[in-house]
This record gives sequence, C-alpha cells and structure tokens, in this order.
Amino acid sequence: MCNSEVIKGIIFNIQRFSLHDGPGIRTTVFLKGCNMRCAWCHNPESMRREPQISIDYNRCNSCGECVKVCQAGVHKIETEGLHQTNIADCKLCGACISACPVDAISMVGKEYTPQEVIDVIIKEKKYYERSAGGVTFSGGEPTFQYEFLLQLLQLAKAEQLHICLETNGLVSEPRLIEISQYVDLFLFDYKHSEDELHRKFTGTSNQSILNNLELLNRLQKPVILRCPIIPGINDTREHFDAIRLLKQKYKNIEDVELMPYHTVGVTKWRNIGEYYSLSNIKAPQKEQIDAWHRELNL
Amino acid sequence: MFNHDKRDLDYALAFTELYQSEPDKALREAKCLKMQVPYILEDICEDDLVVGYMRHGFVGFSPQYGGVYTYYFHDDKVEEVLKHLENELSPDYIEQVNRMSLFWAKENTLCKVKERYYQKYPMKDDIRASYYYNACRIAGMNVDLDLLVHTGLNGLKKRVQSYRTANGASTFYDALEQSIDVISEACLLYANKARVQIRTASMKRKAQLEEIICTLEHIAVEAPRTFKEALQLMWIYSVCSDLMNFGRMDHYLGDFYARDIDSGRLTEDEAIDYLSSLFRNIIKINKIHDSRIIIGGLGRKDVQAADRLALVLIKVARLVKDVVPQLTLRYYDGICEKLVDEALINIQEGAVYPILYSDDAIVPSIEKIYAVDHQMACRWVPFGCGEYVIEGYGTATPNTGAIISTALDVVLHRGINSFSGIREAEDCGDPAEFETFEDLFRAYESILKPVCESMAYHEQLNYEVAGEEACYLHLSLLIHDCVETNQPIFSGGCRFLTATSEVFGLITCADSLMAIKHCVYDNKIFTLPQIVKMCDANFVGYEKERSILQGAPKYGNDDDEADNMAIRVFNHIADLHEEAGAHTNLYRYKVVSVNNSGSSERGERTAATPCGRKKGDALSNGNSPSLGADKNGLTATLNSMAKIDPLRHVGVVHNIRFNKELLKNNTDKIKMVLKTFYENNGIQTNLSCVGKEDLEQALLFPERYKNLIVRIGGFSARYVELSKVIQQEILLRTTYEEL
Repeated sequence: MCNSEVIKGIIFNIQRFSLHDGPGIRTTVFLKGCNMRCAWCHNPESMRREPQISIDYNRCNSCGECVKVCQAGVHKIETEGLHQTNIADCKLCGACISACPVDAISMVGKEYTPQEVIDVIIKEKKYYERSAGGVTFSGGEPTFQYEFLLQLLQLAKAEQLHICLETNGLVSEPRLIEISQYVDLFLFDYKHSEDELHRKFTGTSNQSILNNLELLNRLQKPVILRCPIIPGINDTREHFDAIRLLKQKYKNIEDVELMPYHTVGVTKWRNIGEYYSLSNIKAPQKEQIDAWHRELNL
Repeated sequence: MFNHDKRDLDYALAFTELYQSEPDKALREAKCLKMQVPYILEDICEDDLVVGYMRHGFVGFSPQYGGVYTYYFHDDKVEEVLKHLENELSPDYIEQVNRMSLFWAKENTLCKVKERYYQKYPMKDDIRASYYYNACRIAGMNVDLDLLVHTGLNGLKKRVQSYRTANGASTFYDALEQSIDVISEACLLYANKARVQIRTASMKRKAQLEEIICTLEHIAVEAPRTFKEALQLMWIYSVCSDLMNFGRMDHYLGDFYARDIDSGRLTEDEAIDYLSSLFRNIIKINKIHDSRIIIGGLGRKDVQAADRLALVLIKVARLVKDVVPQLTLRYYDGICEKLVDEALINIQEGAVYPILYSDDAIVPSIEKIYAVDHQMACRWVPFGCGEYVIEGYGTATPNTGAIISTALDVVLHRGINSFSGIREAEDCGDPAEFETFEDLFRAYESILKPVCESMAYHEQLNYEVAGEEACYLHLSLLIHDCVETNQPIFSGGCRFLTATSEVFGLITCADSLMAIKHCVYDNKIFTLPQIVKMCDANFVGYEKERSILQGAPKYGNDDDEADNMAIRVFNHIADLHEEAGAHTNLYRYKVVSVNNSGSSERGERTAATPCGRKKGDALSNGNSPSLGADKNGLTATLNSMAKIDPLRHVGVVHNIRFNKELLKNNTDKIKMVLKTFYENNGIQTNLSCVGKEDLEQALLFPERYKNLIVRIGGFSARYVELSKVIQQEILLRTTYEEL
C-alpha cells in the first residue's frame, strides 16, 4: 500500500489494561465521532469527529495566559475570574495549551494511521493470549470512521487478535456485513425500546438498530447487548421486557449487560463548551441497580 | 544474658582476655563462641513453642547484626556503662576497661578493613562524596538448612570427622566440631531453662514445656525426627549463628510436615501454632530488612509435601499479619494454582506477603550469570531486600551502593552537590559546554567509574579481612565447599563469593536524563543551564517549565524512548560494576535495584531533579516508575519493567498497588496479568492492596491504623510509624483501579 492510500483516523484514547469491554484483558481504542447525540453520553468529547480542545475548569486559575495567545478570540476571562469560551471559533492551533501554566487545556483527538494504532495494541499481545482477551474498538461510534475502522479491523485480524466492536448499531447494512467478517464479538448498545423516546434522547430512530440486531443474528455473530439504564428515561418495565424478549428471540445474544447511569461524564460537557441537559438526574444507588437486574429477570 | 550493669563489663573483659589468649584464629573463634553463645541467649517467653532469642553484648563475634561485622566492639556503649557505674568501680578496674577499649580500637575487624582501604584510596580533604557508600558486614547468608535438619548435630560432627580423615587434620576441623558443641549446649541450656519454668507453669504450659524439653534434648545430639524438632533445630542454629534469612522452608521442612500430618503425629492447627511462634520470634528480632522465608520454586525435592507446607506458611502470614518474616513465593509455570490463589487472598486481605518472584525469569538468568547448571541455579533465593544468593553455596552481601541521581546532580553542578553545597567530585565540565547529550553522559560516567572501582575493592576487603580474622565456623559448617575442602568460608571455602551493590535513584536519574535529552538536545526547548537553574530554584517560578519536563517521555508507560534510556542507565551502572569486579577476587560483583526506605530518605537530601521531581521528594524506588509517572495502565508498566535485561542484575523490585475492588472483582484477570509478566522476563512484584483512602485516613488518625502494613521496595513497615517523606511517597504511588 503506498502512502497516499493510507487513511488516517482520529482517536481520542487508547486504553490499555481494559477489563470491562469484552472478555479477558483488552486494549480499547476509542474512535472519535458519533452519529447519535445521546443526552446522557459520558464521552461527549467523542461526538465530533474532529479534534477539539477541552478545558478543565477545576484546574484553571483564570490567569488569562490563554487569552493573550489565542488569535481566534476563543478564551475570555470575565471580571470575576470566570473563564468563558467560544470553542466553535477554535482553529486548533494549540497555542493556549502550551501557554496554560496549570495544564488545564488539552486537545481531545489525535490523528493516527491504522498501523500506528496496531503498533500500540500488539504491545499487549501476550496478555491477550494468556487471558483470552484482545482489542475492542469503541467510540464515539467506531463505524463513523468507516474506512479507517475497516483497515484497523483487517490489520487486527492479520495479527490474529480477538476483536470486539462496541457499536450503537446505527450503520448501513452492507457496511455491517462487511465489518462483521472481522469482528468476533459485538458489544451492541440498546438504548430505548420506544422509538419516539429513542428519537428524543438520541436524535435517531431505533428501527435500523433493531434491523441490524436481527441481521447479526442471521449472520450468527455473537453479541453482548449493552443497555444504558437512565433513571426516569428508560428504567421502565416495558424497556426491561423488550430487552428480555430480544435476548430470548436472538440466540446470538450471549449476554445482556445493564450499564447503570453515572455522572462521571457530566463535567466533560462543560469542558468542551456544551450544555448538559440531564444534570438533574442522580446516579442510582446499589439497591436501585439490584432492583433493575431483578426486573430484567434474566 | 545481657544485664545492663557491671556483669556486662566483666563479660567484655573476660571475652577480650580469651580472644587475646588464643593465637589460632579457628580455635580462638570456637572458644569465643563457647563463651559468647550462653551469654547472649535470653530466657524462654511465656508463649514460646519454638525457643531461642539472643541479644549481643558490647564485644563479640557476629556477621552483621550483633555488632556490625566479625569481631566488634561498641566503645560508645562501654563508655556509657562506665560513666554510669563510675562511683562503684575501682580505679584498677576502670584502667582495665580503658586498656580493653584501646585494644579493640585497633583490633576490631571493621577498623582493619578501613585501614587497608584508605591505604589504596586515601581520603581527600576537600571531597566528601555522598553519591556512593561502602560498608562492612556479612549480610544475607543463606546456608544449607536442608543439610542441617536432615543430618542433625551429631551427623554434622561425623561429616566433619569423615572429611578430616580424607583431607588431614586441621585446627579448622577441630574448631568446627567445637562450634557444633556450642549449639548442642545451647539446646541443653534451653532445656534447663524450660525445666525451671515447668515448676510454676499451668497445666497446659507444662505439657508444652515437657515437649520442648524432649525436643531440645533430642536435637542436641540426634537428627530431628519430626517437624517440631526440625523447626527447633533450624531456629536454635539461627540464633547461635546470627542467621537472619531462613531459606526454602517448604523444601527443607516439607517432608517432616507431610510425614507428621499423614501419621497423625501433627495437626495443621498445631503446625500453625508452632510456625506462629517462629514468626513471633522473628518479629521480636525486628530485622525488617532481612528475615526471608522462601516457598515455592523449581528444584524442591518433594514438591507435593513442600506445597502442603507452603500453603500453611501463606496462611500463617495472613494470621500473623506483620512486617516480618518476608514470606516469598517463587512462581513458575506449572506451580500449584492454589499457592497463587492463596497468595492473592493474602494481598486482598491487606497482607503484603507473600512477595512474588518468577523462577521462569530468574533461574535461566542465574544459570548464565553464575555459569552454573539448572540444578544449581534452582538453589537461588532472594535475601534481605531481594539480592539473589545461591543457598548453601554463595554469598552476596550488599555493602556498597551508588546514588546515581545524586551523581547526575553533582555533574550538573561541576562537582558540587547542589543540595548540601559540598564538593563531591572534581569539576567535570561546564554544562553550558556539553554540546551533545553524549558529552553530558561522558561527564556522568567520569565521576561514577572510579567510585565503582573503589567499591569493588572494598567488597573484596570485606571478605578478605573477615577471612583473615575468622573462620565463621557456624556458616562454614553449612556452606559448601568449606568442610569438603578444609577451607573456611572466606578463605577459599565458599564456591560463589559474590558481592552486590545497590543502585539508588535509578529511574529518577533515567527520567532526568530523558527529560534533558528530550528538551535540550532533541527539541531545543531549553538549554541545559536553564534546566539547572530551574532545578536550583526548585521550579518556583518555573511551573510551566516543570510541566514540560514532566511531560517528557517517562519510564513505566511502555514508551520505548523512555524505557531505552532506563535500560541504558541501568546497563551502564551494571557495566561499571562488572568491570570493576573483574579486577577483584570476587566471583561476581553485580548491581541490584532493591531499595528499601533509603530511596525516600536519600530523596530528602536530594535537590530538585530534571525529571520534574522537587527538592526533598522521594527518589524512585527500585525499578518502579517515578511517582505518578506511570499513566498507561498496569500492563504498560509491567511491559516497561520487563524490558530491563535480567542478566545485568541480581535483584530488582517492582511495587504494584491495586485498589481493593480491582483485585476483588477481577482476581482471575489480575492473576493472568501477573502470570504473563512472570513468564515473560518479569522478575518480581511487591503486591499490595491498600487503598489510597486508607493511607489518607491513617495520616489523619494514626491511632486507628496501627496495623496498616505497607511494602516499600525491599522491606515492609507499619505505615503510621514511617517518616513523613516515606508516607508521602507511598501515598503518591500509582494505585491501579477499575476504570
């Protein structure tokens, strides 16, 4: 393959020693960019495909060094020391990152070639082999950078790695068929069983997602269904019933994982200059989570 | 028994007279031991099941702990007692004591080494180096305890006699026999002490004491028949000889244990009680940098029996949760799974033992380093803080050390230690004129090379002078090939006369050199004098610059550039030692990176370093990353650690701390990670499971956390008893958590 054909992708994290994104010990690669806009997203910095700056307001001391170096007028320190930003105008020059004395500003997203990603992944190969682990491609929505993902999958398969793909299921049928030949296990999100509410909270219909789940069943591709449970939004009997029915209907669904809502990602919304609409929702206690599992009754 | 009164002075005078009266060094030592051993033995304690405890006097013979080294004399303590008893003592007596002090001032073995050393390396008036050190001791002996417990005292005597018949008579052989009698007499002395105690003992204790008497009377002569007898013989020998490392206990006691359990002579609970008593004795001695007990590993004679005892020892370490003994499990591919599982349960429950070592990585290295076959290599054990020694065949005393992060500071300040302002080396050039990184590295080498030579010579003298002064009879009895060849341990008897040198600040130095290379020579962000200036200011006013230095590649993240620098620095200091050792009569002179609290304590006296570490903060510990520098997950850190060539050292330590939930919820995965590490060049792990919150709470409420035990490189300690800087270092270490 000559250089001009190498597709570069944007990665916002490569997490080694990953224990919860598939079997064994894994490396999880987070591809930037998503075709959904889930209101509860705990990785909002993954939504845009392009790199972007993020400001840790807990670290910022309002010294104003960023204001001095920014040509685009992104940063502003108000009279009470409040750091205001207009991130939409950011030209990604990185000057504010270098200037910040307390390292409060960082760049989310870095360009990689597929080979560069694989080079990191295979450093842990011996751990995958010993623990029946491997690599997990996650996001954002990894299929959103489709060509890049495809090359990653091909290279990972050539390395004989066990591959998990964490997906929201919103991908065209031909593409799903193509990638499924490389994927050993799908971590398939299932967010809401009522289409109307699915649209409201994710910005898209659940219809093609359900179709894709059915397609994976036909292709006999193993799936773990991952269900974010958000108090007041989808912790309903109907939704738990729907999950149970899917599990019963599709033999390829090996397991269902409930992903209880947590608030770890809340500050990230502000850090990237976005508004978080669910700030009134509290993370569930253990008793609540146990009750959900009982309700799911699997 | 040590009395803290005139009787101690009387003893010292008598010991001195005896020492002066016998010109033959072997017989002199035997006579001295005969006088010393009954004197230093202390009474049996109320709940002892395994008996024996000693405390040395002002003068005496000891490899290490009794009084530093060989024949020692504590003049300060004599002075103290003299002052205290001034009015009670006659002028003649005081004169006699003063003459004794004058005699030992020249005659103590330590002084003889120093004199010889300074003849070759004279002290320089204007230079006081703190980036290396020399000490004298015979530390970390691991003798053939298997031979002891399966041969017994009479058997050992017969062994000596048979070699005398073969090799011819010598005062060494005579003295060896006498030294065995000293141990027999110690057994009988304790049997008598028990007999006295029995008169006033409770019914339960009476039965215990009766058993103790039977045991002692039997082992005073004959070879042990039971687990309890073998355990007691091992211990009484250790007490008489100052042995502080107890070797492969499952290997030499496993058959006794299995036989007794299977025949119904012993229950597991009884074994636990006896081993707990042994552990308490070891705790009482309080030698936290020694006191190793080894279990597991390749080359055990009866693996199943050994594993059974090893499981009990792991359990005892969980029950008697303390800072010693340092129970150590030698892992290998194919090891009994239960040993690893039980070990992880200990860690999960807040014990720091067992420490895990990998035979898969170490045994092949020992074969090459020592040029020995597999069977001999399997006899390796880590002693003290983790130096490898070949049990029953070798020495590896770690009496020298290089603090290479300080060496770098001295180089960057033209020979001055910037913390103390003291000149420590000749001017090795102006940093402004180091045009390339290699110029800097050459300057760094120029101050380390000569000190490695002097340290190697000092190690040689340590053994040489010990050999001139004494036969170390008790050690020579159980170290091959002393008896076999009619040569005392330090006069040609020991097959592998090795010495080790400890490297401090390894990763601090490597990360600092990496930061300099990255920021000055590769990317031209700063000049070298600018970095020196930032360090001199302790980074005050240079916060952003510090953050850039901290952002340079760091060891512990599986980043090849940073890891290669660590490898280079490590190999370099290893080379310097090996080259220096080649000019001595040492079998090998190798480095270890097994720091104990010394890395924190030395950090307190070290200026800010170019890696971004502030003045007074702890130095890196062993082969663990700089504090907080490992940010890429556990497997990445383990990968970095496994890159260090195991052939270049004889001991390294890695501190790995898990969050409790991580270990509890992912035991199998953690086990897999560790196994993969051990089977792929990973040497060792100090595992612990103390949460950061526990440590923070312990600082706030020390009284509630008296039993919180932490591992610091080569030893363990109660967290609340540590100094502030060490507490801080431990607090800041990376804890691997669930993500």
